[in-house]
Amino acid sequence: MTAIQVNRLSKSYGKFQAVDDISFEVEAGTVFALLGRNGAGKTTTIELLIGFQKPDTGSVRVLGLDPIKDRAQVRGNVGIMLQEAGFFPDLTAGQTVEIWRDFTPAARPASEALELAGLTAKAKTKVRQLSGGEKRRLDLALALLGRPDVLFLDEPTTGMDPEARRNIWEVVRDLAARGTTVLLTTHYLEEAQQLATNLAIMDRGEIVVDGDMAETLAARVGRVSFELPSVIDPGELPLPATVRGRLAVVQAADPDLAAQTLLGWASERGLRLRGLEVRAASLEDLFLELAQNHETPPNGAPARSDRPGRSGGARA
Amino acid sequence: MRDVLTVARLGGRLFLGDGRAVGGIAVLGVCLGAGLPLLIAASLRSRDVEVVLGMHLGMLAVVLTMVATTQTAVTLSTRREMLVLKRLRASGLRGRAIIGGELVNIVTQATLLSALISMILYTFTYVPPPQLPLLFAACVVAVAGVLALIGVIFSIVTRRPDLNAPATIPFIVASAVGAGGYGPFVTGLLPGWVQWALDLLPTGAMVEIAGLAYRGGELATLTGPVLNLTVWALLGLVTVRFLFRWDPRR
Repeated sequence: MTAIQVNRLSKSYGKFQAVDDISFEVEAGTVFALLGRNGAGKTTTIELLIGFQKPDTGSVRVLGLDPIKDRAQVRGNVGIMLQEAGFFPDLTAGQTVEIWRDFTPAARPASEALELAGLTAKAKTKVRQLSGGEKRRLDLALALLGRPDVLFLDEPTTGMDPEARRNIWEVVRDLAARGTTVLLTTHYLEEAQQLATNLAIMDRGEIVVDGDMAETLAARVGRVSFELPSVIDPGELPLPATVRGRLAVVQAADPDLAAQTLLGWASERGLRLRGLEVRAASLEDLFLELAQNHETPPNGAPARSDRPGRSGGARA
Repeated sequence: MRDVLTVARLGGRLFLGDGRAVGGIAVLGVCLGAGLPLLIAASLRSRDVEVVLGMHLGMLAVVLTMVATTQTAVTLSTRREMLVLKRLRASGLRGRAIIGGELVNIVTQATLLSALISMILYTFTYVPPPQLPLLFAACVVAVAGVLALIGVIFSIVTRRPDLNAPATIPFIVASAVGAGGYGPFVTGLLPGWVQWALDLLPTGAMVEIAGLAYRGGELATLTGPVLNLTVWALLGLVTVRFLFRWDPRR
């Protein structure tokens, strides 16, 4: 079942095209990562999905409903963790959650929401005294109050320490396992890789890469890097390599096999490959590669080498 | 309606939790609203109910404008700037519940303050209670509501949130002059067209309606003031409906 459906969606602010003809779908009970650089259009897409903004063209459906026309039904079934939103600074975390329960139909007990977000110990602390990461957790507690079927998390772990971040990951995994659909934006690519089963990467309002996380990464090359022995010329290596200074980098679909080939070759010659590092393709590599590809070329027109073949974006 | 009352309760709780704001508004409101009419009543050689009543209504107009218009403008723009309005909107509350709840909270404060000021005057001066108390109460609530809506408009049109309070000062002064808050001498100096223009403000309607409530008379004479308040209310509602911003200007 499709929980979120985006069809040829566009939104502009004056001359700035924030979202440009994108399409994707998110299956119920999955975690979907919407990635991209700052200003790529992720937050605008979320704001269109939750009905904060009206699309210029195209349509969105959340749980089969229009977030603008069926606002009350949609809001009753979604939890929203905005990238930026304030609190009443003089209320405690516990009072904030209690007050939000008044606005939320069929809300969880405040203690349960605070526990899920890992904030029980801070229930009596005033919001103005919470750290940035603790405020994000309070944000999560409010988003989870209504036991949502769909959860929108816009950069949920920004400002959190590594332990808190991993705790939030556990909460998100647990929610997805219980059938909650999660749409996540994040700048922590490890987070997206850990949590999401599907992804879309946006650039300048368009989706430039999308699909199943594992398949997308499997289609990318891994890399083997090592310090080139001083007695060896790059041309003598058994595999094509890029050499910068003394660092040789071999890109390969199967980096383990490439490493075995290189070690066998070195062993035959009695050489040691110092600093040998084998890395499977990661989301970070893909992201950086896209960032390079989409830098504006000298003629001023953006290059879009990874643009999918279909017009208007892609289906996840 | 339930959501409106929930937001109103939240606004009231936040206001009452802020001792300095409560103290400031109560002291300023009582000093202006009751202090000046008390002073005039005490300094007149002979009892002149009309003069003291005129001061009472004029100063009540000033207090209502400050509490309803200025406080609404400042509260909404501060919450917008702090992104609290955005968070409330994400909670599932409808926009009309968020704004309506805050207006209910502020109108309640303005009404309670007006009642306190009026009780002080009835107790310590010779101004009698209104002959039509329900009309007086309805007038205060309606005018406070319209002035609060105008406060929402100030929060929309004032680009910088720190300028919201100063931006309402000319409106407060105009309301005070028009409603007779500077006393009958100043009001008597105004050219006819200026007084006519100032009477178009909601506080002009308030003076007419509340005056009738105190003196008694035919309700049919209130068509003009009621129309005045209706036009202002519609102007406010239409402006809020189409121009209200939930996000700060960046």
